[in-house]
Amino acid sequence: MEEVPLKAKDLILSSFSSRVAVISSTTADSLIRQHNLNFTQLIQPFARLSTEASWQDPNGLLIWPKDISLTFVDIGSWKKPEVDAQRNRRILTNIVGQNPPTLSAIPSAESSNGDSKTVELNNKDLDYQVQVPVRTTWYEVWRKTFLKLQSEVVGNQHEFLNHFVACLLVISSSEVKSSEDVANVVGKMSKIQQQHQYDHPNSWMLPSVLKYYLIIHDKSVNEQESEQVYQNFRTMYGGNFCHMLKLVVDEASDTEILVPNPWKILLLDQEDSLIFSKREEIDGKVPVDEIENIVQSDLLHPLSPDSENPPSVISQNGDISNSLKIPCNMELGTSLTIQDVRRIQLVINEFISKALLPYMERQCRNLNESIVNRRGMSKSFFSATKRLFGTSAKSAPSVVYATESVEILSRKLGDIYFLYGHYGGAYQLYHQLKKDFYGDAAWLYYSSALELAAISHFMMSQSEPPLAVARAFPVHYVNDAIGHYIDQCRMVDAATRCAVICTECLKHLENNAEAAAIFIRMTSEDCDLRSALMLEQAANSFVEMDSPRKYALHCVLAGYRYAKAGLKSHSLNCYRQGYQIYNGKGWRYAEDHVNFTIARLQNILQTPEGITKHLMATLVAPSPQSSQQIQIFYKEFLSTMANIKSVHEFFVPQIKFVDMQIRIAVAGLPTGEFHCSNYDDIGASSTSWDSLESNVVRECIKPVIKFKPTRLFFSRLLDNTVHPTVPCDEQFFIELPFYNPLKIPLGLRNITLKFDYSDMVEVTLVPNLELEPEESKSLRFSVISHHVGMIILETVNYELEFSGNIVPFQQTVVLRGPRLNNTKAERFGKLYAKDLRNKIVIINKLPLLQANVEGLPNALFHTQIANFDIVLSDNTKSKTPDMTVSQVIITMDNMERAVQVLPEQTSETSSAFSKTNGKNFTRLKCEKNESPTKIPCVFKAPQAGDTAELDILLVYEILHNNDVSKKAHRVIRMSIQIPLSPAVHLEYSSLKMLDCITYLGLMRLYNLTVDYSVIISKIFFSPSDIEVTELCSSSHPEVKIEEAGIMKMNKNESRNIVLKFRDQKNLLKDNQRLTINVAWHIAKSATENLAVGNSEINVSEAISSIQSSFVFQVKHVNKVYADFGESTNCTCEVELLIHSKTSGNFSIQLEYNPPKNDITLTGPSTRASGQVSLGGVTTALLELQALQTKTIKYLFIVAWPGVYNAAPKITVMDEERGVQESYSLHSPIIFAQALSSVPSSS
Amino acid sequence: MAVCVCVIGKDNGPIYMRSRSRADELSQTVEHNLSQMAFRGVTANTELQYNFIVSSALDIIEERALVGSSASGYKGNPSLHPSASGGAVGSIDGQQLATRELYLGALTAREEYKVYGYMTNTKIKFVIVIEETSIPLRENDIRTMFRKLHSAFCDLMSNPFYLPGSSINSKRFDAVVTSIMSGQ
Repeated sequence: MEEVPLKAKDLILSSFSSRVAVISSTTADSLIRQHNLNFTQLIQPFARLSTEASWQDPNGLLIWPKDISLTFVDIGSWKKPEVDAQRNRRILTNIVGQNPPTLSAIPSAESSNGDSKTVELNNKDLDYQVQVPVRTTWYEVWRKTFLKLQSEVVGNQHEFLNHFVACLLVISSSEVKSSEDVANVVGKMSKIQQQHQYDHPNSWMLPSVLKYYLIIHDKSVNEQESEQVYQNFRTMYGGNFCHMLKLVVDEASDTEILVPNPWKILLLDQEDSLIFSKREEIDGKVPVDEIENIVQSDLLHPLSPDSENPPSVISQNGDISNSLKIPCNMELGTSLTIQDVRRIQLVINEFISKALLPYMERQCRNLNESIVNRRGMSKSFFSATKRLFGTSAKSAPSVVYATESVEILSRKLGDIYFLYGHYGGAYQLYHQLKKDFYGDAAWLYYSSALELAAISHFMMSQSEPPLAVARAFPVHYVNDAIGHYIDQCRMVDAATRCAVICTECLKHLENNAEAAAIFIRMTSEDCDLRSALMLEQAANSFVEMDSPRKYALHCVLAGYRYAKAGLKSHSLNCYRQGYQIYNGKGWRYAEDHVNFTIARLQNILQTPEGITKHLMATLVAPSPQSSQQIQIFYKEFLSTMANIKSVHEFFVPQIKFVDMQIRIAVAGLPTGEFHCSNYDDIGASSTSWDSLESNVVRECIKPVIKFKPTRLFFSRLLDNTVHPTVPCDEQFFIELPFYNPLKIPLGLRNITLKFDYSDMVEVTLVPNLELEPEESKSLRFSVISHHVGMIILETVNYELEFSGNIVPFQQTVVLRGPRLNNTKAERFGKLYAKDLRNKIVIINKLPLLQANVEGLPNALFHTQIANFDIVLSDNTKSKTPDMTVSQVIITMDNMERAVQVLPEQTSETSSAFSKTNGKNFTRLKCEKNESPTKIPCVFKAPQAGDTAELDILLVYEILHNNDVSKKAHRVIRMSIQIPLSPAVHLEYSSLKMLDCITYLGLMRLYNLTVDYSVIISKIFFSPSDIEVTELCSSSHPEVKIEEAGIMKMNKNESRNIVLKFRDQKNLLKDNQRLTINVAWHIAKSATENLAVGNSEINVSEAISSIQSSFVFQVKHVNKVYADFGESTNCTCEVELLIHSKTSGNFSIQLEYNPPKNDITLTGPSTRASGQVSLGGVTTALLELQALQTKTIKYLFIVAWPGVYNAAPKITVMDEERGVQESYSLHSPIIFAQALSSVPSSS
Repeated sequence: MAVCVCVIGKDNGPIYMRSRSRADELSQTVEHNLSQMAFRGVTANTELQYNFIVSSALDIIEERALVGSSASGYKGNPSLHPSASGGAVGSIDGQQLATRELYLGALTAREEYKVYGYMTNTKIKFVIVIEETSIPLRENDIRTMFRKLHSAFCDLMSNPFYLPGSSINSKRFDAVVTSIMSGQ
């Protein structure tokens, strides 16, 4: 169906053509049948006026209609078409399906096949370069078919465009020999016509029908006779209503064959409906499936991420109909010559210009007259009243007008004007009618009038010469018409016709915004196909409007509807259009939806090209999608990839090559998943290793040409500009972290490394790795190379497993060093350092020693001395007989202080080594080769700290037996960490103040050692000014003072200690570094200690938290002598000691409290009288220095000597600071009789 | 109350987007995990909704900006203006350009949301979606929000480590957006 896209005008002309009924006699029919055509088919391709013709409207205006076209319908075989929406829908779906878009090229690729054009959208801001299809053939075909189906709907009361206007009687010249025959035949045919008009009164436009007589020349009758017959007709019916068609049916004629065959198009057009009827006959079930397919897809919003396309039964659009295609190679009218065609054309021209147009002219006059007559009456009367009252009374939507009513007659007249090119008149009539119909609330009539008014308006503006058009194209008419068609009349198809035609007009007028609005208006839930087509057209209008986002959105919406209608390739096409805009713009939800849908559709259509790209794009992290959604993406991805038989580069899981670590010359590390703790610690100390090695090599392995420190470890933080160097056949390890960036768990299988010499390199295979969402795990691979030279780690290969699909992937190793920033060039450019970790140099075989430590305790106490052995063993995989280890050097930082290599045990007669000590190193000459070999050593733990670190470097020299000058050395780094602890642990449980300078502490000591008893030699404070006054232990009442210390604690013993200490100088408070120390030692023998240490605990916080109420200490002197002899009441002088922590001026007030108890039983109780006197006053002022004790004296009157509980209330006030403290001193005082010999104490 | 704040770069791709649902999710504690699981679908949907609202608002911004630019005349280099006869005309043009109203006003109103837009001279667009509540926000409040957002954006651009056009990942900017969204 290669056609040029129709212009708006042509579309209108071809959509609205008057219908002519055809009745042919059987003889005439059989004559035509010789050409494999029936009569309507024969003349249909030429049913268009090709000459100039004119007619006059009732006002005498001459109309020159252009391109009048007719539709011929054989009413002999015609039956009223059933209005079957489902069938029409199927036909339309099929028609669209047969015209799939070309999907050969991915839209982004440069394609020059003319199907699409590159459009620069939004070029003010950015350049969206979009490939837009030039034509949407499927839409054009759909439109054509749709309009054809619409025009077949007859019997409309609201419009008369598709009604029969005339009747063509086709008679063979052979059957009408005489005039009786004429009357007979014509009478029969007229009867058929009248019967038809009687049966279907609504399908004829006018009651009086124009009859036109066409005589076909029959070869069996000679020409004269035919001519005679023709003349008979002419006389009987008038020359203008008859015509004779002579067709030369002569096979031998040498006239040229018609190229192109004008009936071909006809054939193709009919094919579709033919196929369809055939299909229905053959298989009634197929359409049902299709309907189900349409219905089944639930209505999800296309923007919702969960929306899935309905699984389609029909894989390829229109496949089924292709297989059903009937052979259409019938030679249609090939025996007809150009002359014949000209004659047929002449028939049409004659018919239109001589018969039809004059007939219409007459009819118009008649109609106009009757309208004027009737209107004259009604206008003044009915309409006026209607105008007054009618509008408010909205009648039922189904207003029916009488056939002879003014409105219907006007409408008929308007339709005739419209069909025969008098658009100005038509517009006026329609314009008038719409008002009338609106007044009557006859919505169907109203909408139709509006639609035609709009189209007439357009045609007026397009005619040549253009008629004066008052206003712009009345878009509101169109909108109004569509609205009423849909809302009031529920005639979606009529609305669609209106939309389809008017949008074309609007596009022609370059009013794309309105066109798009109308297209979008026509989308609805009930028909996916129409909605899809409309959305797609809307999108194309948006392209013209230069708004890319709307274009993309509507493309996607159209694609969704296409998918629901079962048209996958159309859907894919639309989604791809949308993808051009959405890709890479950051709108992830939209992008993911588009990518995913494209992939799904490609899967269904089996076009895997580029599918990987779309699916991978949905998995790029970070994604805002939920984990369920990502799981769907991932599942689709893997199941798709499982069908593609090649190893793909993939970015999930993320392998952080920059964190790659290589370990050389270590044996026995487990491969596979491992817990990596501290990546960075190891790197930091490497410089000290290097300097140790450098020292030793310089001193012991003499010929140093160019020292390069041995590298056994490579990581991100180290210098990676040197190649890792590994001897041949020796195992080394590569560690790589794997990170799962997705929100779903990943299952990896068969992970391995691939080197360029893959057959020469052995790599372990890690069978399994499970990664939780956003989890990182490290894998260790063991590598052994049998190839000498450089091997390059190229890719990491792995398989991903999900729900039964196992798909292999690979990731290429990409390494780049840190960015350089030293020189100007480096600062200005973007230069990166080399990273050679993946390029490993394999050198010749070397012996490999391994060192272990034996006999070192798991934990040590401070200063503990431990014996241990370094065990050297030969770990060479493949023996190297021509090389020997000549010497081993043990070295470490501060070696004298920590480690000592012991002299040989005397018991062992033969030694493997001869020993030489140097500064910080011990050199052992190998004299004998045996493996393993023990080197006894002693380690002394440091005095403090939590761990002891033993970083021992062993350097061994390798000599080639046959070439002494060839020396090599290798190193072993031993890094041992031993936890250190003191032997005694101490805690305090309570600390409190006894008085202002004395404190009491409850301590607990633990002996942490399992094997030893610990001697505590001293408990002291630091700072040492604080003296410990008393000490007692809970378990033994007396601390046994031993010569070496104060107590001994057996193994695992713990002990409580009460500690009394005095803070004479007020040092305790606010001292952050106040500690209680316990000095201990573990005796090994009488003279030698195994370990000596000092445990301490910081008590400053505890001390400062003691709430001290003692600013003052007030105390009685506890014995008073007085002379009780003379009187019963003796005034005694009592001394009160006042001690203050702070200096200042205090006023001291005493109040009398009656003594509570007379403690002694010797005298009568409560003899003391109530008098307390401080020399007449009760308040004393006192100036005190800090920590000074002063005495004040007061008088107390007692009757008898004895023990009294004198308890005056004492209030000490410091007015400056506002401190006030009150005491009731319940301190017993002994009042004794002063003997004459014993003077009273002063 | 602002429920969604979005910054859109020159190429019309979002460089910052925060919506209420996400903020709520962040502030929720672990205890609500179960109910959160149930609402996760809803959350994703609303976020999608905001995405859609903001994306469609872009078209309106474009229209508004077009109107603004056509009002202020030729938009490019004044000296290249075909009708620019002298420096004086150019300078007037430039002045007009500089005083173009950055605030674009209400873009669309839906049943539940109102969408407001703002475009800087460098074509960075801010979109704020505001929930329709009983208490209507005054125009001035919205202008203040945008001004705050703009100054926060200027601060961000002053950061030498921020690559213009890349997605925004800044605590300070986050804080400003949070304050806008909480209505302070």
